[in-house]
Amino acid sequence: MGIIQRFWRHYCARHLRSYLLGFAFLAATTLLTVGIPVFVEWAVDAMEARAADEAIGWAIAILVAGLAIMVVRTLSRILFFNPGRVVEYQLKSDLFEHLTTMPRRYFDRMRPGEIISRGTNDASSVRALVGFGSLQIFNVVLTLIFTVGQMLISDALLTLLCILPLGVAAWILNLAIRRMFILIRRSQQQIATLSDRILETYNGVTVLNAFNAMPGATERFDRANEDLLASAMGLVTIQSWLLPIVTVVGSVCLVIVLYAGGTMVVDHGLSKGELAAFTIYIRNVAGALLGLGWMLNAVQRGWISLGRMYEVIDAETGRPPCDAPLPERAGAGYALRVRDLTFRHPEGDPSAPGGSQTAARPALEDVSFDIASGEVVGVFGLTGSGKSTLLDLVARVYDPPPGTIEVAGVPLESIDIRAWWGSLAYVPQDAFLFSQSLRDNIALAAPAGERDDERVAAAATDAALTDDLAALSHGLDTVVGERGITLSGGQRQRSALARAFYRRFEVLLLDDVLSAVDHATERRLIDAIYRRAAGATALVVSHRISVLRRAHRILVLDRGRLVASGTHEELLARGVEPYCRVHKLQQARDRDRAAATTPPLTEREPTVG
Amino acid sequence: MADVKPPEPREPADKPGDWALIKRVWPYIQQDRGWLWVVLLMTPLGVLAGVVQPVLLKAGIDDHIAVGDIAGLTGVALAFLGVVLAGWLTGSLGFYALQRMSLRGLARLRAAIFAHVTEQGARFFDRRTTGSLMTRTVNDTEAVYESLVRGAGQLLTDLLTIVGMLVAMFALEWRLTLVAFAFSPIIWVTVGWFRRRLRPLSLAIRQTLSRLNGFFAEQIYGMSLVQLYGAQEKSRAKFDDMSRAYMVAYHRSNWLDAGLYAVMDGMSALAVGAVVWFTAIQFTDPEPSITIGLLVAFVDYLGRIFVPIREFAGRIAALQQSSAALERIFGLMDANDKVTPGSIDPESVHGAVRFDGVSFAYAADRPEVLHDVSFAVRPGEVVALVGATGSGKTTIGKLLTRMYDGYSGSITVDDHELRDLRLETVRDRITVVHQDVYLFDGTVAENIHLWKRDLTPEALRRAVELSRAASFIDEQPAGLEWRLTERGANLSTGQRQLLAIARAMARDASIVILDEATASVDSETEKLIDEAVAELFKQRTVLVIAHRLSTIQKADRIVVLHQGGVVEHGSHEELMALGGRYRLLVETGFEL
Ligand SMILES: Nc1ncnc2c1ncn2[C@@H]1O[C@H](COP(=O)(O)OP(=O)(O)OP(=O)(O)O)[C@@H](O)[C@H]1O
Ligand SMILES: Nc1ncnc2c1ncn2[C@@H]1O[C@H](COP(=O)(O)OP(=O)(O)OP(=O)(O)O)[C@@H](O)[C@H]1O
Ligand SMILES: [Mg+2]
Ligand SMILES: [Mg+2]
Repeated sequence: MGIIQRFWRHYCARHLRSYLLGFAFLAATTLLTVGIPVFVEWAVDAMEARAADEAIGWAIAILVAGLAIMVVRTLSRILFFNPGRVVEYQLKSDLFEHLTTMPRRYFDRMRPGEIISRGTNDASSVRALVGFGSLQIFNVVLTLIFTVGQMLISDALLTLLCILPLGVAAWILNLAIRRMFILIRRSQQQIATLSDRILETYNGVTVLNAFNAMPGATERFDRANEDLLASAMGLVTIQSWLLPIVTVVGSVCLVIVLYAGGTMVVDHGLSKGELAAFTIYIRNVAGALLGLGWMLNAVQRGWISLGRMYEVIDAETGRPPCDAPLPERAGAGYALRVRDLTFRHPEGDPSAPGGSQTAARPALEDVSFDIASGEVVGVFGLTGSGKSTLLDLVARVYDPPPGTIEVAGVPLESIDIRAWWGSLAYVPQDAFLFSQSLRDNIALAAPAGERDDERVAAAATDAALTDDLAALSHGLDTVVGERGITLSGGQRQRSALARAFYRRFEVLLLDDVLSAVDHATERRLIDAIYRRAAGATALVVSHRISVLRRAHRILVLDRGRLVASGTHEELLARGVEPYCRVHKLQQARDRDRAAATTPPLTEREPTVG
Repeated sequence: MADVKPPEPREPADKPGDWALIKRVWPYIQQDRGWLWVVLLMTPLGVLAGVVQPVLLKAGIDDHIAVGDIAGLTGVALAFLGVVLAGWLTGSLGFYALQRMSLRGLARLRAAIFAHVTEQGARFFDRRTTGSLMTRTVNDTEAVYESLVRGAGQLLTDLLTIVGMLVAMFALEWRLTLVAFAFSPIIWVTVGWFRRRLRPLSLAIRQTLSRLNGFFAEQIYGMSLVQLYGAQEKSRAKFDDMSRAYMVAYHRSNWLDAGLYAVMDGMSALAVGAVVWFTAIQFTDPEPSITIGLLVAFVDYLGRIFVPIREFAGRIAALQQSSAALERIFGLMDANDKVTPGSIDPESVHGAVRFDGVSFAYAADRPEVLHDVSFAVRPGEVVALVGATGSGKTTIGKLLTRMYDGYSGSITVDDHELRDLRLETVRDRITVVHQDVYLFDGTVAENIHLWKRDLTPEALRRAVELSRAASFIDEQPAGLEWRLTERGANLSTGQRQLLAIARAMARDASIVILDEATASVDSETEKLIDEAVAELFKQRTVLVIAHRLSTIQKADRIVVLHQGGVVEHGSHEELMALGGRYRLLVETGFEL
């Protein structure tokens, strides 16, 4: 089904009544508007004939028409404009709904700024199409039909003399508007670039200022700003010289009416009343033609925007249908089976300068392992070794290649994705908070209105947030800044952890969630994590041996490959690198500390790992 | 418990009048004063051409057509044509000049907002979303442009037209003019009525829109979390609520808009009716005092004058919207959280840092984060700041880099009060690896040099190598020209940190702050970086913030923070011997 049909059926059809009614009122408005010059004509002819009473009658008719216009025009505009707003609202709402189903890959490729612009700017263009645009279509068509018809009835020759130049003017106007349209598109592109620059600068303002780099950023902004100015000036030239063409030609037509029409009056081919009426007709026709140009523009823009919005609404998730229910739980949590998992991140933005770039090597290569249900497995690896990628794949933030991951014997890609997400508690590496209260951030998983404040409190306590809450102005009800900037790094990280603790989960995925906390807090958190992970399957990524060593098993990744798996002791015994090297490094510190430590405070023996 | 309402500050407390706003816009267009003269000269001429036309129409009908004088009619027609063309030229030139002036003013205003925002201290950004700041810089300035061109500027043309035509009409036939405008008090009242109601509405519409867009953007960025935590329905409901509020506000303003437009439209018909009626009455007289030509001229006038009068209302609506935008822009421009710059610019900075009784709160309604913090760092020393999370370590770094002002007590660098030093000096001499890494959508090289030209390729290369960022950059075919996506999303977290370290290593500062610079980096790489730091910053004052004792132990001195206060300081050995909080930290932290 074509976009137009779908658009009509899903969004506009339900406003058919409103449109029909609006159309009726519009027709009435146009009839009344055309009626006025006719009444003037008859009144003037009556005056010429010295029939004053009849003329007064027509004058009263004009007055009545004027009053009626006020009512019907208001209604016709409302009946067209309001559906436009409703359509905009519904389109936006559907677009957003669809976005909530889209995989991360889509957001990586489209870039957030682009998506945001489609959800905002394009939505208003579509609204203009169905509101203002459709009103104008009918308005222009009706006015032209009625007015030109009336003119033809009066005098065909004079009509032709006026309509021809006006037609030419309208054609020129249309060309001008088309050119404008191109310039407008260009400047919209430039506005988008400018917005990106600005947003990026504002987001990175701390870094730029700290490095005294604002002048460079300002230069970049200035360049974008000047580009925009240049194309706006091109627009202005057309606007000032070509847009008034129809009005100017309208005045020229007035001259024609005066001269040609006047000659006809002298020759008794035309009444003075008709001459008077013609001066008004011309104004009406010129007005309609002027509207025509704008309408074409709005319509054209609207269609393009509609196409852009449908591109998002129709975007495929790229996931095969997955509706298998979650497998039965066998004991605690789910068993995971990973086979020959190779994953390469999607290419970078191909439109970006520097061309399309492929990731140099797969982030994960031929990774195979099994995790029993209820097992807590640590994941170790140097920077960039693919730990986060592994968790992203298990969580289906990125879709793993089919057949590579099984959950309790069921292929992951066949499981209903929302059910799978519902059984996870995943804390990604960068702690993202929404700019709402801490309480709502922690209870993100709670359906609206079903937040359980006791669970929130328990989650916050387990995430060792209690002391921090006391230092915040409104405790859990403190509204955090964008992305949580008004919290300290460790507080943000622990809030993200609390968000997972709030959930009931079968599978727990923690990505380096203790990197920003001190050792004392770390110990409390490790306890809490292992306590909470009991009864679930867990994958815990960390750079710290202290976190990993309590796991049942540790997977060691090296440059995307799984090089070993085993308990802490086994890995050490087998001399698995780089695990052993890192362990030695972390232990060396420990020894240093021991060496530097003067006799312990308490009587107890110092514990050395 | 009720949520505490969004912290977005309310900016314009008292509504400035339109005039006051125009006065504030003036400085941005002042430079194009020359064009203003063109506007002021050409616009009246263009208007005049329009005013004369109906008079010619009347002359043609009454003086020539009525008496059958075709030759005379030709003369009038030619004159008419001349007037039309002259009107086109002058009117268009005036309009062009006006637009040119406005557009350039707009670009300047935008640059001014950008400059204003980027000069702000961090406090400014704590309470605002960057999305709404962006809206202010781009979308609201667009709206202002509308006001300058479609609103304020056209207002001049419209006013001149209205006045010129009224004068002409009065001169032609004052009684008819009075009759035609018998309804004008109604116009006056209606326009006022609509005006009063539209203003708050359009302000509300803009606010709703900006909130909606902000929410939309945030959700897009956090979409994975929304999905993972099954919050789709909740987000959708919230989005729908905001979006509906926007729609409802617009529905209300649609009524006003449509009503205003239609009433003006009907009013012009009423005026025509009144004029015809009055003329008709004259024709009860055998010698009517009003000619048909005059009537046609009047109807033509009414056709012309009601467009500007009607548009006048429309322009006022546009002006409403844009003065709402202007209010918000200038509200933002009035909001100031700049750190006050000093003026001292010492030859060199050795790197002695002293905090003396420093207390600080992020906002008036926030609890104090640092209490009476005192410590000193000698030039070339490595000092570690340790303490539990949330104890204020990062805050100390923020004060030292002058992200925030408004602390009490004294911070000195080389015996200069920090506040008295030039901001550029402070930022050149103190470099920092932030705990939160921010990367730009640009190449690796750009992310390191940050578009500053004073960095040689060699220095860049060295920084990349010392920071170990080379390990993954060199894997990429494009190398330093490899393009990163927004916020470095195509890097691992540790890799992002390495780039931030490279950024600092590429600079030659006297004081270096490393705020958890290697928190997400594996120990092996960390060790290499630590060595590079030690080597590179040998002569520098280094302030390390770290939770890992490996990093801390190497420090010359350690400052222990607890709940915003310094509880101990000294060397590792001294502090261990002291047996206080530090020892506790060390001992609890290192049981493997
Ligand atoms: N979205 C992405 N697009 C392209 N490449 C990516 C993306 N995310 C990660 N990579 C690349 O994939 C590799 C593995 O990254 P990953 O984030 O899984 O590492 P990691 O083991 O989590 O590292 P770290 O310890 O630093 O967090 C890295 O080389 C990284 O540059
Ligand atoms: N921009 C801000 N606005 C308000 N409060 C803030 C802001 N930034 C930090 N805070 C608060 O100030 C306190 C100290 O924060 P700071 O970031 O200095 O801690 P930190 O010692 O660096 O902790 P971490 O180890 O977790 O990074 C915290 O309670 C935090 O909530
Ligand atoms: Mg990672
Ligand atoms: Mg910190």
